[in-house]
Amino acid sequence: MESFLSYEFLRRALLMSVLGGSVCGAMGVFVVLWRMSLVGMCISHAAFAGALTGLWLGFPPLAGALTASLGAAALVGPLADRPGFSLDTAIGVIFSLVMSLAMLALGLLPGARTEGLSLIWGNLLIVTSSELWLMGGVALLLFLFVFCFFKEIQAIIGQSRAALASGMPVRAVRYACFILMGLVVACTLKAIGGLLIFSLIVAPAAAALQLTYSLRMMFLLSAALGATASVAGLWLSFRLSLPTGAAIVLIATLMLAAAMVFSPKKKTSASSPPGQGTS
Amino acid sequence: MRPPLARIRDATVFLGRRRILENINLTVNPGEFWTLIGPNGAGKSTLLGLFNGLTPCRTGSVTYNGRPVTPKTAPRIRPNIAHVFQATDIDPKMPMNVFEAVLAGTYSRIGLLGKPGKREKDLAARALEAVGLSALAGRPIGRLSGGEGQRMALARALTQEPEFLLLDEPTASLDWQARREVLNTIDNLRRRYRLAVFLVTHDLNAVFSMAANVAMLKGGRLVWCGPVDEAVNPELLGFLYSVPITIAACGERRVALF
Repeated sequence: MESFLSYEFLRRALLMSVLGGSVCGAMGVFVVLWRMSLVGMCISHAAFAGALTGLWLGFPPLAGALTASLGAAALVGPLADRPGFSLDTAIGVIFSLVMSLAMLALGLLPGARTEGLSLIWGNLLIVTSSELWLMGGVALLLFLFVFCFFKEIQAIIGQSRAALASGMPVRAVRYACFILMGLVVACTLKAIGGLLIFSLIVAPAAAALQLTYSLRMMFLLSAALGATASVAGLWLSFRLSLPTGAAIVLIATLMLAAAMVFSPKKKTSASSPPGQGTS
Repeated sequence: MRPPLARIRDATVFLGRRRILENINLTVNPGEFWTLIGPNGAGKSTLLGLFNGLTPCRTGSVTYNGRPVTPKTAPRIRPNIAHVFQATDIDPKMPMNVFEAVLAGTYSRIGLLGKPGKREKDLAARALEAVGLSALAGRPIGRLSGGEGQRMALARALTQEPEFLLLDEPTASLDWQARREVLNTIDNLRRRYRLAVFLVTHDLNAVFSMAANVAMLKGGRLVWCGPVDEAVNPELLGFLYSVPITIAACGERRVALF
């Protein structure tokens, strides 16, 4: 461990793992409970396309990823709310558009395309200090959002139509989630990779859902599992010379498999689970 | 004279280019019990949504306590109107227990950034007691039966402290016992809290035994409105549902047969 932490770039990678993993894990709660897996996939691929376009046009990939993912996030909600459009249709339209743009940009990239291809798999070891600060800011924003609007999130996630009918700002909360998703994906894209980031969002939350009946606990568990998977993946990749992103996602998936095996929800007795209070 | 609680005037509703409701006129006074009946696809749920602005009308107007219900005013009016959907609105996978789900009814009144306090928790406990679910407060919502889920939705509506209760087929897909439990609960709550109720249902026998006023909707038009005694009419009901309906006497009760 000492040798691991003696390198500046590994310390940065470790911090990014903790921040990125916990943020992706917490974001995954919305994705899993709102069944917005496709929204997440669409936004992560938009970030990928934006970063590639940035590389092609010569501006920072992070700026391209942020613009594209926020643009996709801002488009998905209003498009899905149009009469005659469903969320699936909106995602289908945007997903195919961003994938075409990504392929176009990749095809037009001059040279060896190494940097472009690295965005597919990600690389935690090349994270810079400014990217870490940005990730820290996004983590703060996401956790503040969950803390401040927990009751709205709980009401809307559990009974969205009743929440809307009682006057709660359902649409605003949903759009805020899309925007946060865009920010999270754009900031973790370079470290985790466009293809893998989505697994890191979904797997910890799906595992947490297997283990608890409390939304508060699900957020905490999911963030902790995401951070653990990221740190463990980084450590394994350091020790065994594995691709970092792939190692992280494999560990997150193993955690999900273990949670499914040991899930207390498999017991279908009608009695209340122990420890569930009424607060 | 006290103004009507809710009034719909000449409302016409379109979905895209399709007209769903046409020239709807209805007035609900405080404490009144209305039921809305009609065949599938008549626009019953759409009409229910007019009262709280979930359904925007293209022409005509809706008022609540004299205030117009528009997309701008609806969020402030909605806390006074509780809308109970079918039990299928509750997602059984949600990590939430019955008490938390019921407490959520208080959130629109607390406002953003506010936290539920003792008053709200007492309100939720009383609502659970009123619907007979106190013993299940800690149970995950995914482990409720259909009837329990619907009674939980009623308890959630009560914690909203509404003046007006909108019920959208609350007994759909429930067995006979659960249906009777839910209908009895609705009747008790209405009397206890002096609520105005607007119930959409296909259960004609519930209409005959509970409601005071009946509205009949067919093809997006209100074809009849009036007191329940006059609604128990085989020709009228047969016209509404396009099937022959017979009214039979069973003791003091009247039941519809078809």
